[in-house]
Order: sequence, then structure tokens, then C-alpha cells
Amino acid sequence: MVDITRDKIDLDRLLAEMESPESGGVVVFIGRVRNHAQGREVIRMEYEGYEPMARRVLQQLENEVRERWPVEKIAMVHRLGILEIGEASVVIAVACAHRAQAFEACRYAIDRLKETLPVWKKEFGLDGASWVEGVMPNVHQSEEETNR
Amino acid sequence: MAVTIRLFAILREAVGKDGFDIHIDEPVPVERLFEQIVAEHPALERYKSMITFAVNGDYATGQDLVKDGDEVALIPPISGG
Repeated sequence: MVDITRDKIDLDRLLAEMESPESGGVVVFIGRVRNHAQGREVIRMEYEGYEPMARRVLQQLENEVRERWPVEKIAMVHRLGILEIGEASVVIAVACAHRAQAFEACRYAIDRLKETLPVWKKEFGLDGASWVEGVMPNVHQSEEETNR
Repeated sequence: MAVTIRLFAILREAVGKDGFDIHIDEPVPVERLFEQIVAEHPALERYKSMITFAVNGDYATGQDLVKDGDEVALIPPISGG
């Protein structure tokens, strides 16, 4: 499952999604708001997203991860809005039969999310707010699209 | 024929709104549409090299055609996660 939400991410619910008798390993990545960036203090973060496209990109990423690893369960949720220090902005959970697959799949998912998800964050510090310098989306075509 | 333009983050702030409609006479490539957008909103000119386009929720190239009713998003560098 994938979701873009303005609510606090419910970790218990995500872990419940990972229930699967075939899965011997569950890896969870939690991205949180940190209190510093490039030597400056950060007091909160605001996330903006192109919601319909962000959902679509996450769904495509789920499909891609499932094609590449034998994933039993996967959940990816990104939060938007104003977040305080320590709050989770993104959570990815992957359940596989074996831990190595789960670690690899989860690592790939968060790396690709950061390269493709149309979401932007604004950092609020003591001396004002500024958009975090981002990356140009790294768009590669999946085989499905190439064959279409 | 009209196309909906969506703006986000730094581009939204540069123009002062999150989107607008633009008139086209016929289907046009994204990069030509962008020239038309810049003509109407010169504030976007300086961001040209950092913009990625999306058409109807999929990343697009400058050569992809935009037609009546499409939604075109101007995507500045992303910073999710």
C-alpha cells in the first residue's frame, strides 16, 4: 500500500500491514525531521506535494520493487504539511521471506523515492524559512513503459 | 483549447499562485508551451534550467505533446523524504 497523508503517520497500522506468515524479515525505514541542516538550526519543516502525482509515483515504485524483489508486503507513506522536530515525514516498511531481500528492497525504495517523488520541503530556522535545495528528478523508464 | 498549469514550491512563490489555465490553438510540445508560459509569466524564465515537466501526472520530456484538457506541472528540484 502507498499513501500521501497530512496526518501523523501511524506506525502501528503500518506494522500491522506487514503481517504475513511467509515473511521472516521486516525492515522499516523512518525518515524524520532533524534539528539541524548545513550547520544551521532547524525548528520545523513544511512539506508540499503534488498529491495525485505523488501517489502515482509511489504506486509505480511499489510495482517496481515488487518486480525486483520477492516482497510479501510493502508500505510507503509520505506526510505533507508542517512537521515538528522528530516527527516522521516518510516511512517505508518491507516484509520478505529473508532479511537480505528486505534490506535491499527498502534501501532501493527510499533512494528512488528521494529521486522521483514530487514533494518539496521548506526549512524553518531562527533566521527565516527557505526551500531545501533539491535534486532534479531522476526519471528512468521502467521496462513496462519501454515496451508499451 | 486550454491547458491547466500547476506550480509548486519555489515556482509557486515566484508567480504568486499555484496554477493557471493557458490557451493553445493546437497540440504543442511541452517546451514550446513553456515558452508561451514564460511570455505570460516572465518570473519563471530564470528557473528554466531547473524545471522538469509532468503531463497528467507522469514525468514528460520537452518533446511530448500537450493537448486540450491536459494538466502540465512545472516541477522544481524535489526534496521529499
